[in-house]
Amino acid sequence: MATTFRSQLSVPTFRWLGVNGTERILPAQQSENVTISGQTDTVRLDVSEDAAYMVTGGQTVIMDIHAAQAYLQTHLQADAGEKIRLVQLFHGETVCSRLTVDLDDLAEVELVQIYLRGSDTVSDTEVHMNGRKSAFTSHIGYLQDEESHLDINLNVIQCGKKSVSDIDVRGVLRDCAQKIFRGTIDFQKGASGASGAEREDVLLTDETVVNKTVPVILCAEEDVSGTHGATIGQLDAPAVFYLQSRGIPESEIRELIARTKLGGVIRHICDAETERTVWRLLGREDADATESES
Amino acid sequence: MKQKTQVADIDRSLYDFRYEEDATDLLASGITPEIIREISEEKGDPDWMRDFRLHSLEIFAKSEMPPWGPSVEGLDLDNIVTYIRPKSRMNTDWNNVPENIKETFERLGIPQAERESLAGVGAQYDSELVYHNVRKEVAESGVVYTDLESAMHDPRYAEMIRTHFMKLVPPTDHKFAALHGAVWSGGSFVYVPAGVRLEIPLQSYFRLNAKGAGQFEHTLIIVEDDAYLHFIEGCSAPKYYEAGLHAGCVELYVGKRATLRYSTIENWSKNMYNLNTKRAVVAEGGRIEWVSGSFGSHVSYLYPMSILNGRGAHAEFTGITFAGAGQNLDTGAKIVHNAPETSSHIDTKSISKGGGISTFRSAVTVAEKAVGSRSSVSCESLMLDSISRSDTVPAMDIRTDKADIGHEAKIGRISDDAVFYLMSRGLDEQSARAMIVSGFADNVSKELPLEYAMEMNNLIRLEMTGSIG
Repeated sequence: MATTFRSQLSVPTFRWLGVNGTERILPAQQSENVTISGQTDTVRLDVSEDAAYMVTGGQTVIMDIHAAQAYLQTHLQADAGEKIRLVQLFHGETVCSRLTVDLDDLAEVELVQIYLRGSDTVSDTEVHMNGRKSAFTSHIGYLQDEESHLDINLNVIQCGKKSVSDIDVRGVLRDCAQKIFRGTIDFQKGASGASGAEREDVLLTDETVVNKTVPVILCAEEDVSGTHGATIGQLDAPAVFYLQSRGIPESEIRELIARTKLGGVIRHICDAETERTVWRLLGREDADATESES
Repeated sequence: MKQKTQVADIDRSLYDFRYEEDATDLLASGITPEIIREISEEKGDPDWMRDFRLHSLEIFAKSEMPPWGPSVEGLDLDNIVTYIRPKSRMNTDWNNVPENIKETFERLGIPQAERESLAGVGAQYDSELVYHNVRKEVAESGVVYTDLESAMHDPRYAEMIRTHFMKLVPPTDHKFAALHGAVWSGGSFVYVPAGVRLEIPLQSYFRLNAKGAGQFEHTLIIVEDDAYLHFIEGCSAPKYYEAGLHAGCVELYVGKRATLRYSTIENWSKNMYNLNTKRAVVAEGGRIEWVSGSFGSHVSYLYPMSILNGRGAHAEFTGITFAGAGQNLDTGAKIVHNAPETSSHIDTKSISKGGGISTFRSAVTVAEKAVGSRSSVSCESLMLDSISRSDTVPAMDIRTDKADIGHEAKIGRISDDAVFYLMSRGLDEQSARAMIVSGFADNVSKELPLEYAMEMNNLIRLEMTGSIG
C-alpha cells in the first residue's frame, strides 16, 4: 500500500502563499534499517534506491544520493559528548528524504547538504537539541535549473540549556527552477542561554525562477538569542561589469558566480573525493586536478 | 542567581469606564438573514447594498475559520450582537451629542485633540458615527470627510462608494471579511481631490461600549493623484467578561504620486477579538505609509496589506506590538509588488510580557512583472520574561530575478549591561527597563504626531508598571 510523505512548516501561515507544507505519495516499500556505528573511517554510502540508516556517535558519513526515485530515511543519534558529521549529496531525480537528529549533552552534529538539479527533491529534517551545550551546524547549498523543484524543510528544536545552532544556506536558481526553503529555530521553554542563527543567500539568474523562503523563529524562553536573515537577489552588477572588463563573457561570469556561491558550502564537505565529485557535477572539467575550491 | 518578581498590572481606568446600554438598543444576537435584513432596513440601504449584505452572509456561512493563527474558540458568533441602534443621529455640532457619549470622548481627549491638532474628527460609538466634523478651510479645498453611510446616500458620492466598496477586500477574502460585508455599520469616507495636500491629520475614533457586541465599521479613503493625507485611527473599549468582536475593514486607494499615511493606535480592551482587515492599493509613484501600535485586544489578527500596482510605488510599514497577560497578538504586514521598480520596507518591534504571546507574521511577494523591485524587512522581538512567547513567521515569494529582497530578524531579552548602566546613572531597575522598552519602540513613536507618541509612551509605561525581571 502506498504511503504519504508529508513535510510541514512548524507553524502554519497564510494559506494563499502555498508554503505550509507539501506531500508526496510513495510506493509501498519497506527498507531494512541499517545501523552505522563504531566505524573509525569515513563511511561512504551509495544511495540509488529506498534506504533507511541509523547513525550513532563518532561517525562521519557521506551519502551520494543519485536515485531515479527513492525514499531515504536517516536518523542521527549523538549521545553525550559524541560528534557526527553527515554529508548528503543529492543529485537524483525524485527523492524524498526524512532526516531526524537527536543530540544529548555536549553532543555535536555537523550537517552538509548539497542539492544539484533533480526533478523533484523533498528534504525534511527535524533536529532535537535536548542536551545541554549541544551544537548543531548546517551548511546547505543548492543549484537548481531547468524545471527542477526543490523543497527543503529544516526544523531545529532547542530544549537544551546553552545549546547552539547555526544554519547557513546558499543557493542559485536558474531557468524555470522552483525552490522553497522553510527553516525554523524553535527555542523551547527551559533552553536558557541558547542561541540560534539562520541565514539564506539566494542568487536568481533567470526571470522564470520561483523562490520561496520562510525563516521562522519560535521563542518560549527569555534568555536566548536568535537571529535570521535572508538576501534574495540578482547578480551583482558591479561584479559582472568588472569581470566583463577583464574579457570574460557573461555566460561564463554567471557560472563563475554560481560556483563561487556554492564553493562556500562545498569546502565544508572536508573530503577531497566528494568535493571533486561535486565540482564535476557542477561542470568543472578540471575538477580532478582541484583539491578544493572556496 | 537571577531572581524575578512579578507585580500585577495597574488599573487601566482611563479606558475601562462604561455606560449601561438600553436593551431596546440592541438587535437580537446572532447572524441570520433576518438580522441582516433588519440592519439593512434600519440603515435605509439602497437595494444593491442589501443584496451585497445577503450575498456576504452566504459566503460567511460557507467559509472556514482560519486554520492558522491564534485560537478564536472563545468567540461565540451566535451570541454576538452585530448592531446597536444609535441614541443619536450623526452630528456636526459637538453640543448636540448626548451627554454620556460626549463625556466618553471627552475622557478620551478627542475634542481637545480636534481643537489642537486635527483638521477633522469622526467619532463612532458602538455601531454608528455620532459626530463628524471637518475644518471649514479643509472642506473648502474639496476634501470630503464624512460617515460612509451619508456618502452612500449622497448623489455626489454614491457611485464612487459603489465602485470602491469591498472591491479591495472582497467578502470572499476570509470568513471575517464576509461577516463584515454582511453586518458592517459606521465608519468614515474620505476623499482628497487631486493635488490637495492636507498637512494636518484627520482622525476617526471608534469606541465600543456595549457588552458582548461587535463593531464593524468600514473606512474608505480615496487619495487622488499628487495629493497627501495623514489619517489617524484610534480605538478602545471597556473591559467585560463577555468576548467582544471588532471586524472592521479599511480600504485605501492611493493615486499617482499621492501619499497616504495611515496611523493606528489600537487599544481595545482585553476581552476583544480584533479581526480587522486593512488593505491599500497604490498607483504609479504613490506611497502608502502604515504606522501601527497594537496594545489592546485578547486576540488580534492584523496584517495591513499594500498592493503596489503602479511603477515606482512604495509601501512602508512601521509597527509595534505589546502583548501582555492574557493577550495573543498576531500582527504584521503583507506587501505585493505587482509593478516594476516598486519598493517596500517593513520595520516592526514586538514585546511580550506577563504570559503574553506576540507573533510577527508577514508576506512579501514579488510578481514576474515587478522587475527592479526592492524590499527590506526588519523585525525585532523582546522577551521580558520566560512565561511569555514571541514568534516570527515571515514569508517571501519571489518570481523574478531582477529584484533585491532582504530580511532580518532578531529575538532576545533586555541586556543586563544596559540596565546596569542606567542604574549606575541613578535610575531604579523598573525605570531603567521602561526606558529601554520605550527606546525599543522609538521607531513607531517618532513616526506619530507628538500627542499620539505621548499616548503610546504612556501605554508602554502602563504596561511596564509592575514588571521587574
